[in-house]
Amino acid sequence: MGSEERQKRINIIEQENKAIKDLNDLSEMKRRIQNEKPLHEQVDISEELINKPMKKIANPESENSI
Amino acid sequence: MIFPANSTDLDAKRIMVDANVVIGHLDSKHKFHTTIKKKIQDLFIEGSTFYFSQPSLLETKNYWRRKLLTECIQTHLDSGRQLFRDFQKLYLDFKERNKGEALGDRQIKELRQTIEKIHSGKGVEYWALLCDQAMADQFKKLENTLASSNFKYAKLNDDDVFPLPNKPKWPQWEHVDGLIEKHGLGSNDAAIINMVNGAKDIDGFISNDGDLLFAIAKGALVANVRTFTFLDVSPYV
Repeated sequence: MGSEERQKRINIIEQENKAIKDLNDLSEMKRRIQNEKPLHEQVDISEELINKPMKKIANPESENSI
Repeated sequence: MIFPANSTDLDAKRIMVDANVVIGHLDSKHKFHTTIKKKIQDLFIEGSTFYFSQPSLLETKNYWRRKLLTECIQTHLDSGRQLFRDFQKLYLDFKERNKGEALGDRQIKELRQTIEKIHSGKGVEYWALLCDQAMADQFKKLENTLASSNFKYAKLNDDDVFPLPNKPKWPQWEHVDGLIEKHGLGSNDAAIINMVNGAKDIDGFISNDGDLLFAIAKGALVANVRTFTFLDVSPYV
């Protein structure tokens, strides 16, 4: 393999390493969660309701997906 | 015979990798990440070409879905955000059981089921928001990383790896059932072995899946391909 091809491959690895580093950086997701309203507020459910056990607020049984 | 991947004996030039190797390569928290990345990148620079198949792509995406959902839920808790009581309790139970690993498919389904019955479809909306928070931006990064990776995605109509049906060595799909029945393999693992069996000029295969390696040790791989693993090889010799 010539030196030019080898250098081309080294460049690909450098790009890959940058992409892997970015992929594993979850700070954007974390920032978004912290900046948004709590989920129950976004769907207009009271804090009292989210603290209740589910069986007290459940609807009639629905079919479970496979 | 199965060989250690992290050795100088790995001299194959056209290498198919299993999903667990793609995942280990991409996930910096994976226990084999540093070892896998270094070995694969060193081999690539020296001239090897790596391929991953359609089942491996789906498994990689599914792993990333599970990882992101886990991290998202954990971020809510770390930030003091309250989630549904039963949902939160179940998540913490899973977290302790999993010992730092991402939620499994079944666990995610059970978590979703704790809120799907919430009145007037709000549970569905809640779950959709959570998924959006976890995946909307981060999943695009996975697509970008795969696109800029040294790994080549080999589709079934890819002439370079899988010859067309009118050429010899087209994957014989009836072999998939035989692999499942004979070795107790899951369908994805059987499909991956079948692809390696039918691929053109692939001379190496790397996997860290114990079930799949066991099947290969028992003769599931009929192609002339050397199999490597980053796991301890002693159970398979």
